[in-house]
Amino acid sequence: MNWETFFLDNLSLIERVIAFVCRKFGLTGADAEDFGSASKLKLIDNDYAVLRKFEQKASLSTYLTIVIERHYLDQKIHEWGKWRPSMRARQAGDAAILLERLVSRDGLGIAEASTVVRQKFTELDARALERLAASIVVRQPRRQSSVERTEEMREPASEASAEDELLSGEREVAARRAGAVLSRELDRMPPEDRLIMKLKFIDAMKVSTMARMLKADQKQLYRRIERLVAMLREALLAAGVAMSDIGDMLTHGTDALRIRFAVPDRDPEEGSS
Amino acid sequence: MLLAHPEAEELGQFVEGTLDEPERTAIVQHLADCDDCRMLVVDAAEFETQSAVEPQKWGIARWLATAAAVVFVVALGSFSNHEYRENAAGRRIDLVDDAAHFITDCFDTSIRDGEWLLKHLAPGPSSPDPLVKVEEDYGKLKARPLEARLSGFRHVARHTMRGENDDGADVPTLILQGDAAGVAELRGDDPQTLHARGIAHLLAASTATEANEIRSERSSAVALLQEAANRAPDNAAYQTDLAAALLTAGDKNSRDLAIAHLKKALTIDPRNPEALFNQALALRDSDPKAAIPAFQRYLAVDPSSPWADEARTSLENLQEAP
Repeated sequence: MNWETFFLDNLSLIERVIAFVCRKFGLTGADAEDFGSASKLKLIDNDYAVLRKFEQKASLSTYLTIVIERHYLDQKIHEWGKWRPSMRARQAGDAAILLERLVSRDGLGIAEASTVVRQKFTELDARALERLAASIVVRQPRRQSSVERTEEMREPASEASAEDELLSGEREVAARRAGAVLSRELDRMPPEDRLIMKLKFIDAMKVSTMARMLKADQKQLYRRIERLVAMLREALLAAGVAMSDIGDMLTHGTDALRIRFAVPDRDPEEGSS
Repeated sequence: MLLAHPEAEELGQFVEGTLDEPERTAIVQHLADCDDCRMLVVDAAEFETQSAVEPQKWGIARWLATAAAVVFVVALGSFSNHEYRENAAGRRIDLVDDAAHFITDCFDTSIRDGEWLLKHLAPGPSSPDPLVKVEEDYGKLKARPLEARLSGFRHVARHTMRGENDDGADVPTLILQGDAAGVAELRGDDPQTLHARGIAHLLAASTATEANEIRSERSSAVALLQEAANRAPDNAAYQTDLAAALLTAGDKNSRDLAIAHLKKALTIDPRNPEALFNQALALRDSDPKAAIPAFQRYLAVDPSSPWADEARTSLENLQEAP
């Protein structure tokens, strides 16, 4: 096979995949162009080695999506270390990814991280930043801040009352306890159950898509998810984490895992099956 | 223990549900603990769902080519049969004099011998519009969730009901969400189905409350409507509805793109009311001066409907603005 011809014949698909990955990670303008060029080079490199490796066991579009996104992640490991933006941040775009990186990876407070983000994304106003901050998943930083404080970075204004701070501290403790219970319970689950929970609640994947991947019946899968959620709720209750605390944590954005613990009455996507 | 990352193609097979045991179990075990590979799988599944653009194994062009070939063979058979019968009757065929007879004969034979083919080719009774129920229930909403017009959807007043719905969606909205969820799950990659699914995702986005869900549904809506518009480039309604979806993003790039699609819609159908209305809306937010004649153009086409009242209000606001 002439791999150059194959590459050119599928250039439109390749570009669609690149555009998709750019959209996923909020790459725009010159960043998107650079990534597009680097991705194409990656496919051409070493006499089209990546394409030659393709055995047509999967569709070309799926294969390319995985190869090109993996290429992006490899680039970012080099740049950022082993940190990954959350799905939420990726969907919200570049500014959210930066904000999350500063908070989750570098350990900055929301206020100072927001200041840094605002320096780069000057079009964002305070409200937009506030919305972004509310949308990101705050994880424990892996290390202390490596970003030096600059003059522009003001100390976060302390407007909260003592009572608010106390409540916030209590929430934080409850959130950590809940997070620990959840991690422990997820670790105890069989791998497929653990994967299902992550796909459903962290990645917000549709049950129909999940059923196809796992070769499972959609309705049975939905019941399985209900059962797993019920199990997690029981574990939380047993550990002394009240459902009201969970609701409070979700409302105030202090949680580590944004799982909806209430078993939904009915999943809308089950409607047609 | 986390083993080495699986090969890209193996992950692809997992996404497509074509991986057999024991490889599937091995991948599940890996994905349960590897966030990187899980992210790849989730995104690849989303690309597959959204794009619906992977060249089909049995593409429409090949279908048409095959159909043409079969028609030709059947017609040739019919011609031979006709010629044979004409010769047997002691009369030479004269295509000019006997054209009508010949064509009728060909058609009869084709229909008889190629019934299976006609099932695929003949327009037949038009397929039911998957959006009928959605359009009907949209009309029962208390407030219109989208400011832009959707092709074929009736007018619903656009109140902002702040505070009224704090407890969640009202019943008509829940019904509409249910309808939309059903349509969104339809299978098929013909323009009508893609368009219907796009509209369903758009309505899901416009009635959702979580930012995450809104973005995800809107992104699906735009991808599907774009694909419908690509596949039926002369359909003004598809261009208009794609523009309506883009307008919900609220940013300049999406608005510019929406305006481009609306221009295309108006090239196809210059008096398309939905396109004229949406064009005026898009311009109102990007170029208010240009929006004034745009609303006037709309009112020239539709001077008296409830949509016209909205257009008139917007026009007055623009004219009063300093």
